[in-house]
Amino acid sequence: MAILYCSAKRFKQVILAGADRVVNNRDHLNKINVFPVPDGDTGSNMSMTLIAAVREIEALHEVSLETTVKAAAWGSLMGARGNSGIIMAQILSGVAEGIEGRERLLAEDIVFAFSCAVRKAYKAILHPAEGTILTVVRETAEAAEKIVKTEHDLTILLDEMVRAAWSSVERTPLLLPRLKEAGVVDAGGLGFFYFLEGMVRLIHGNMNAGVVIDDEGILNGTMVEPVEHHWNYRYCTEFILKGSQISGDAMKGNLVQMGDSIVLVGDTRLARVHIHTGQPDEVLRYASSLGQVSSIKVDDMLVQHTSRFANPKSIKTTSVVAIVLGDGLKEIFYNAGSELVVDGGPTQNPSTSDIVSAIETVTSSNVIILPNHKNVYPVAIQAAGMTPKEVTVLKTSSAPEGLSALLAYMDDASFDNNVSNMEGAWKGVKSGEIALASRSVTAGGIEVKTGDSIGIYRGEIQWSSASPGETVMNLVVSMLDTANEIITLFYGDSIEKSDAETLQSALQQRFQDKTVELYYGGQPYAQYIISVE
Amino acid sequence: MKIITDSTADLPRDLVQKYDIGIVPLTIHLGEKSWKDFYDIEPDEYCSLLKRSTNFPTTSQPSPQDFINAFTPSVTKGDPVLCVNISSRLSGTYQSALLARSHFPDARIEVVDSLHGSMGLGLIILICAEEANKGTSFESVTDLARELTRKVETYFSVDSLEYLQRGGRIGKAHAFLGTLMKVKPLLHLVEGEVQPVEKIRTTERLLSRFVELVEKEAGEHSRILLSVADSGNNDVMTELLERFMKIPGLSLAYRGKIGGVITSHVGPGGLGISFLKVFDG
Repeated sequence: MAILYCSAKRFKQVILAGADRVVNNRDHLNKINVFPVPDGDTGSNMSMTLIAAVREIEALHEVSLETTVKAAAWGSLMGARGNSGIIMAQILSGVAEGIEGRERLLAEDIVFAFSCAVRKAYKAILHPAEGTILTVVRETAEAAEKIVKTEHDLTILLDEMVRAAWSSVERTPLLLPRLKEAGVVDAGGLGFFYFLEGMVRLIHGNMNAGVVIDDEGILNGTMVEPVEHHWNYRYCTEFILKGSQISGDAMKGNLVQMGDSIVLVGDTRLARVHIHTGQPDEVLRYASSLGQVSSIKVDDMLVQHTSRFANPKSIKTTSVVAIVLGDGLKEIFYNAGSELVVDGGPTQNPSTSDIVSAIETVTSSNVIILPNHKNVYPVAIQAAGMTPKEVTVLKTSSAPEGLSALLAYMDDASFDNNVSNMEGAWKGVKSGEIALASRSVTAGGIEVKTGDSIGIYRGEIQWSSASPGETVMNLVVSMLDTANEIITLFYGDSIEKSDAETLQSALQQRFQDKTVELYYGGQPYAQYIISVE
Repeated sequence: MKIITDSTADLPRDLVQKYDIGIVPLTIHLGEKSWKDFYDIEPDEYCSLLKRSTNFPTTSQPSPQDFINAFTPSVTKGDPVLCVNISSRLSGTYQSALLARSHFPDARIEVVDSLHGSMGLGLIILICAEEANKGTSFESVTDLARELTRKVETYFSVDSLEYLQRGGRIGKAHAFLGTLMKVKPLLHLVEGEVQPVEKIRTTERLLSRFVELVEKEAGEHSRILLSVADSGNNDVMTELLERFMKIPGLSLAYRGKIGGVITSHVGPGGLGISFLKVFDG
């Protein structure tokens, strides 16, 4: 039976089916993720992004084709994580733009929407690389344009598109040497193939629609909106809570009884809490029962309100939001002046909505974002475009770069001065990291065995050895030049403090004219983050 | 006319002699020992003593009697006296000078709060002394001194905020206290008080920020007059000066050493610059 058009109901079903197929193959996608960095999160990122799209569709009251497609686009934009998630979100918003005003979609409408999606996806990425999801989407769209000239049955169109997607996925290792070296196809491209394949399987009756939602215990930065402003909730109270099993929902439930404007950002081990309350002591007592409370800040807003009018200079002109992973690093960022720190890094990309809610929460209407990872940068750019606040995203791609920028921040300097001072402060910093190799591979002539400590600098593996100390030493040698003054180590949560200290003194011994500093970073993804400046 | 200042002007000895500038010393106390600043101990010698000392230094302002003694010879001769002192936000020296003046109700004595210290105060004194040497009237030189207190800019950096904090001179730079990362704070004297500018990690960045601050003031129709001083940071200051000398239209008024009193409050490793923008024609 030929299917000649797509309605709102059908559109919803195929999106759900496609998302389901991606979610079911998440682990496999994570495993083959080697480009741009082998951080094993493509499957999770694409899944999270599509789940956000599905949730938005399911929350719709008024279902038309336009509202459904827009909901999918909006949801995925807000939930987008990682490079592949961003591209997926761009594809869905490209589709939404391409079909604006239609009540049902014919084959040629779908093909047109798809070509819009390709353009939008290429534009979203700063340096589009071929052999990735971008290639797969483009070649699929090109195949669709040929088919639609003779074929109007959506079943056949989609079948052919899936076939084109698959042969494009198979060719990715030919375009991207890194994939060939590792013996895999591109994870993002394969994810997109799964998305289309899920749709086709539904149409052929191979599965039921319905998606398993899995949040992996991550609290989203959601905000409970105040209904009206109570001056009896006059104390703006902020603190960091460290615990072993922080439940965001349970905590929110209790905090709602004590105040409003509640914001919780973080994970099950470390959360940043913001609340406007009448009884800050009660809030802190409650928080102490859940874990260790630190960095407490209580401001009387009534006094601030009055004094701000008396002295307009006291208004903070710029707020900084940083994205970083690891409790030590988070503390250092808070200490250096970041108003909010959102969890995120190589293994755990924050969603657009996490960043949007952080931007909305901070006090100033001028916000500087430090993404501190290149996969977070596009998410932050996207978030920046979704708020009425003036937002500048600096292109810091590591925690040390972000920290150097942050040290130049002054809360009473003008926004423009802060942007230019911070921009000027991080470029002289070089950073590298030491990570555990999850698979054996030969890359750039370096043989890596599973369990080795690999030293990565400028995106390339520079050294691999069974001893983290040996890798650190050799990585520092390749990073260092005579003009550098300070070597800084941030040790991760898998490293013993005493081992890190031994390494610090060994480095100091070897590089006597440099200063070697050691800080606890607590990051899960790297044994050491190293900066040289 | 006679120009008098206090020892925190940190002026090189040859300039003090050339213009016959009167220096009223503050006193430095370290452990059991005390020195009259400028007269009893050289800056480098004090700096190395301080580095090795386990004690924390304190300083004391001159008494009104010290200023009375300094004013008396000129008053007796009938010469007018211009006395310019360290920022009243940083020291009570200005207060002592004011009290001393009230002992000579009929004499022509002007006491000016410079709002600066060290190379900033020194630069103001030097410009006034050169002007007085040209035969400019006492009133005009006094007006010039008051004008310079607002026009001269002073920036400085310290190795650690500990000395400023323990000596109670940290001002608004207390915002930089408790930074987990090790930093060299860049500071600014604003209306005589310490204000934070930027937390800086490397010497390289510090030097380029100093140069930027001066460079943005240099223009086609103006010159920059600069004075610099350091506390036990000679080599880095030499490097900084080399970079300054490349700025077109900049001339160095003098290079000095931060004296014992100011070193007691900024610690060893300090770098300071003061500059004045002069419009041509």
